[in-house]
Amino acid sequence: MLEPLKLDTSRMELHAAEIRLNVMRMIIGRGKGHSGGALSMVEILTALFFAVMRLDPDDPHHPARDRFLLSKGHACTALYATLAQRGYFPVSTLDTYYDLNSRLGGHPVQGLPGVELATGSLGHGPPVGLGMAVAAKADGKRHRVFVLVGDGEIQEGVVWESVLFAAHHRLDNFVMIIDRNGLQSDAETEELLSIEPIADKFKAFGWACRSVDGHDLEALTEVLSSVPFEAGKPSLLIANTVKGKGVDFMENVVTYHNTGPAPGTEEARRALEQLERRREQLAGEAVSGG
Amino acid sequence: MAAEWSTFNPRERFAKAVVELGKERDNCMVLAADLARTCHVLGFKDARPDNFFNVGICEQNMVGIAAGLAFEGKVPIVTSICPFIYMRACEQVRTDVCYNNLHVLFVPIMSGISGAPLGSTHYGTEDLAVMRSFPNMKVLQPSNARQIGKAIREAYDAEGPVYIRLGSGQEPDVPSNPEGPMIGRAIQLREGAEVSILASGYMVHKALEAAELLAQEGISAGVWDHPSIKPIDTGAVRDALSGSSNAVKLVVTLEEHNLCGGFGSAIAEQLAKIGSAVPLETMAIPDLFVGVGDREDLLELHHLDSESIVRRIKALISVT
Repeated sequence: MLEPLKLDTSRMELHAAEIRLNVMRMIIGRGKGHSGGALSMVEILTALFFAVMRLDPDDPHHPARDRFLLSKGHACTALYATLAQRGYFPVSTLDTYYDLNSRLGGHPVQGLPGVELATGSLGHGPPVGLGMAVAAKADGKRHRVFVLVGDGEIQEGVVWESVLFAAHHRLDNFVMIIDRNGLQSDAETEELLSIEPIADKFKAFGWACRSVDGHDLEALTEVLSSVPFEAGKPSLLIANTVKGKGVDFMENVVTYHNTGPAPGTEEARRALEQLERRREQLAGEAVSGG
Repeated sequence: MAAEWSTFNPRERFAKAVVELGKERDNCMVLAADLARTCHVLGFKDARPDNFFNVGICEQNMVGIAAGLAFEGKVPIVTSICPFIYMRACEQVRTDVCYNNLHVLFVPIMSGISGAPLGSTHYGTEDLAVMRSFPNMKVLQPSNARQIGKAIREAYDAEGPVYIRLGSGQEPDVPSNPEGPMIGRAIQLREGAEVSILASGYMVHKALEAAELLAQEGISAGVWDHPSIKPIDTGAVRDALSGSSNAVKLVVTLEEHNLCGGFGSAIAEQLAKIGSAVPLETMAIPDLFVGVGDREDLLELHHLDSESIVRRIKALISVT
């Protein structure tokens, strides 16, 4: 039987700081990557992989593991860094990001431990996750399926096909998390194509919905550990986040959707400095706290 | 005068095949998108209600779900009318299923213009071009009732995604019985010295009729049935070049598909690779949207009836 790690919040905060720093190292190192949406979901991933999901990094295909799909696959650097931090593969593997034939490309692919399937074409994660959830129910299995989508991603029509299906088939082993950072590639979601009120829409479709501060690891852990929010219903968690979180000049800046600070620039130096300082601060607290 | 053929209904034969599979294989699942009745899979639903999902009019979601099911070890058979698989859910087929190399069977009905006279919204005249371009995908097109049963079973036991193109209505049950594996194999149905006619699916009976008419005029034409469009039987393509003589004068391909990218293109690619100097005539639906009419009338309109095929072959032989 697999059980979640249930790491305490202060240690998870240190992991999150390390993950965020590694995300920025990868993106600056290669001068390429989707930084804003990677930085916004670091705590969501940390809570899932360090406290909520049943998994075994030494046995990534354990049949009883909870399944995770990063439907917003463009933000893959945060997933890579989280998987490395959790022990699926050495942190040094992150150095192969964007190398020729690397398993760490611009979107997740099969073959990297901890990645179930190739994802990243928006709207594709929820239906694939539903297939996994249906199979689990059919086989009487207890594992859950967690699918992390971007907020702009729910503009894809197929998402709503999957929302109908999940409720109709009462798939309470299915959890969709929206990284609600408010920005999509070109603009704010509400300016470009309004998606609010998200919770009301999902409730009307038959889902059980909660929202949470998507950077509060304690709150994330608590709410994600309580799924299904209602028996017989799929669960939606709206995680309110800040795009570019952790680097002051990147926060809420739309152009950092698919870029990062250019290598060798003052911005790059400042970004790494801020994230390193945060990590050192938390590491110091961990030492002094015993 | 066309031959009198005994006929079969592709949907009924498919229905029989999936019910048989469902009784034998626990992991066999069938997905429909509000076309279960049209695709004749209600029998499967009766036989294996827990393994059947009617997802509603949501083809993209259906194919994504199929990918997830296949990932977990199920073997989903995805059914719908042809264009709603290869176009509406095209990206899910490519990215969710083929990219992840998942074992999903796609069984579109009403492919080609077999849905006539419904019009081009419901015709499937570009699917071969699309499907055979996806890595990992295998593409089959049975030409008779036995081949449908064999294709479904062989695809089920294969690995990765398989697309099995079916027609509609009553179709000629041509005598074409593959021995051994069907995937990657063609079947020679008739020997011939001057012309080789390569066909697939519904057009195989046209090839046989044309060869018979040509024989009556003293022209010797061989016929090959290619139920496996990807992988293509390269050995059979070489055999077709020589026929029963050292070299035929002409190779002809017949397909119920747009001229671009389908079966004829697949054969042309092979002939180019071989470096063949034998002229190739790819007879297909022209690069246009087919209108309304009966299937046979539309084929005749586009010169794909047996008499038109004969006329074309005679004209080409006379100038070569």
